[in-house]
Amino acid sequence: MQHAEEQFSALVDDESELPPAPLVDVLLEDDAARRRWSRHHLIGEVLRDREAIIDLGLADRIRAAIDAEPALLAPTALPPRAAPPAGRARRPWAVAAALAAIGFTGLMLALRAPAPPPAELPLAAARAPEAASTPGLASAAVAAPGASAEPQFVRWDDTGIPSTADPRSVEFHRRLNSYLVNFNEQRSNLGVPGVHPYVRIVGFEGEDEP
Amino acid sequence: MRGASTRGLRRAALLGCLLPALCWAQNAAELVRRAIDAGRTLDYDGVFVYQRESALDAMRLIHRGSGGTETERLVSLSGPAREVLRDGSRVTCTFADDKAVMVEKRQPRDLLTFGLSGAIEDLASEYEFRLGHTDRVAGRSTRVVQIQPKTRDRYGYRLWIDDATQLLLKSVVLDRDGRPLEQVEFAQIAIGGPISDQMLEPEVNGVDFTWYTNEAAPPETAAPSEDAGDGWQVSWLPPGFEMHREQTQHMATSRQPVRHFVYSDGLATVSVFIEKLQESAAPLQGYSSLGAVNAFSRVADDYQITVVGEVPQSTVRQIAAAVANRRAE
Repeated sequence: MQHAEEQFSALVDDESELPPAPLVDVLLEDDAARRRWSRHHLIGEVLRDREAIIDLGLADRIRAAIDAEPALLAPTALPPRAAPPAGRARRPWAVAAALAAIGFTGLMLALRAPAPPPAELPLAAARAPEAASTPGLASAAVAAPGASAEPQFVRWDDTGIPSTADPRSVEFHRRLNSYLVNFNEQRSNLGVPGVHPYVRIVGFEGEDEP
Repeated sequence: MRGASTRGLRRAALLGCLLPALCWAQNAAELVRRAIDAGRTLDYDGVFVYQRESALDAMRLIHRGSGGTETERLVSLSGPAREVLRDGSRVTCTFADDKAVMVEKRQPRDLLTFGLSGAIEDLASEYEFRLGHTDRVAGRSTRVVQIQPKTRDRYGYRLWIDDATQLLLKSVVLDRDGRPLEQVEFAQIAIGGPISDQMLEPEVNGVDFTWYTNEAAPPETAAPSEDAGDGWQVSWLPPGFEMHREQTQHMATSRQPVRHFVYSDGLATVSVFIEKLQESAAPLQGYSSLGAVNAFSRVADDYQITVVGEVPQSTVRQIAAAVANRRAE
């Protein structure tokens, strides 16, 4: 179990580069693992993306700190808290996750049930006619012609999880999450009335949970 | 002479009808501005429900804004135990289910200058503000403000604002047909009571958790590169949208510099992200959505363009289509 935990963290951290599909299958084989996958991404995205918003260079500083000292960066300004045992140290990427699951789940749902494009701008259809004619593909998420000789399609399984057959689809999803987290924080900074920026983070539950 | 008198009477009658409506619209917009200020500067402790699509979550929000700086604690009451504590210089996220605590430095926000990003007059050109009926939320008397967009390229809002304190107690984002997309509503709230330091302490002490912080990290050394999306511009936006921020930042996933433009009409916000496509990355193209937030992605000249906004699908798509590289022209 401990080994699986490490593999999971490594997978989220990109420490293992592009893991073989069987490993991903094992790590994401049940609901709990998928939930954890979503949460790890969620925390990571918030940790990484807020630096951009408040322009503190958080991600780069953390990367530099990791390079200098891969051990845990213990908080220094909160004395009541005990420092965690060294054995529990993980890279910030792993915990971090994506508080962005705000996007992760929502995007998955959207990709499973895409809305038809507006008639006035048939851009997607014009650029990616393959999507409409390829069974089993989400027509809302297709590769753009010109990006490579053969268009690459992002595949999704029945639960909306990016297919393990193409590890690039995982990166695809994470990138969308990054965008969405950035947007939410900017929206909050502009003083728009409505949803508190951290409500989505605290309230996140994967839609695929029981 | 008689005709002129009649016309004068008609004009007076017309003005008599229009002026109260204009005043009400002005009052409604001003009320929204006060609600935003109240949310930042008041002390309050309440339980609210957040609803989007089929998801429903209960949370407690403890906020202290008196004294010029904000401190608040947001706690989940349903689902996994999670908390977010924000103060003037730091955000602490505690995730009991992951046994993780994340401490992050943040930029202090000046409460005096924080508020609606556009002037009321500017907002009034794109939205119709109406003071609605009175209602009760969390046992308190509120006034409903209806914010109706004048065009179908953005969403509407319905806000319930506390009569006594102007605090926003309930808000709904409405789609173009008036259907709710997202909703936040306080079920119980105490406003103005003392918020002690103890109330703002996290329930979970995090002793056995893994901690992460950026507070001891070295300064940033990254610099924008040629591939950061320089030269790109957005040639069309819905009326009333203005740029509020333009920056180059690093995305978590690709570590590739990304150009980020932020636009707002004072209520709705749109982000435009532009980054050089990497061979290892799957290009994005198509729609995504979450509650009231929509996104549309496309690829142009080997760059990935993604527009995310609290606006309808067709709007994010139109904006994405209007993103072009000046250097290629």
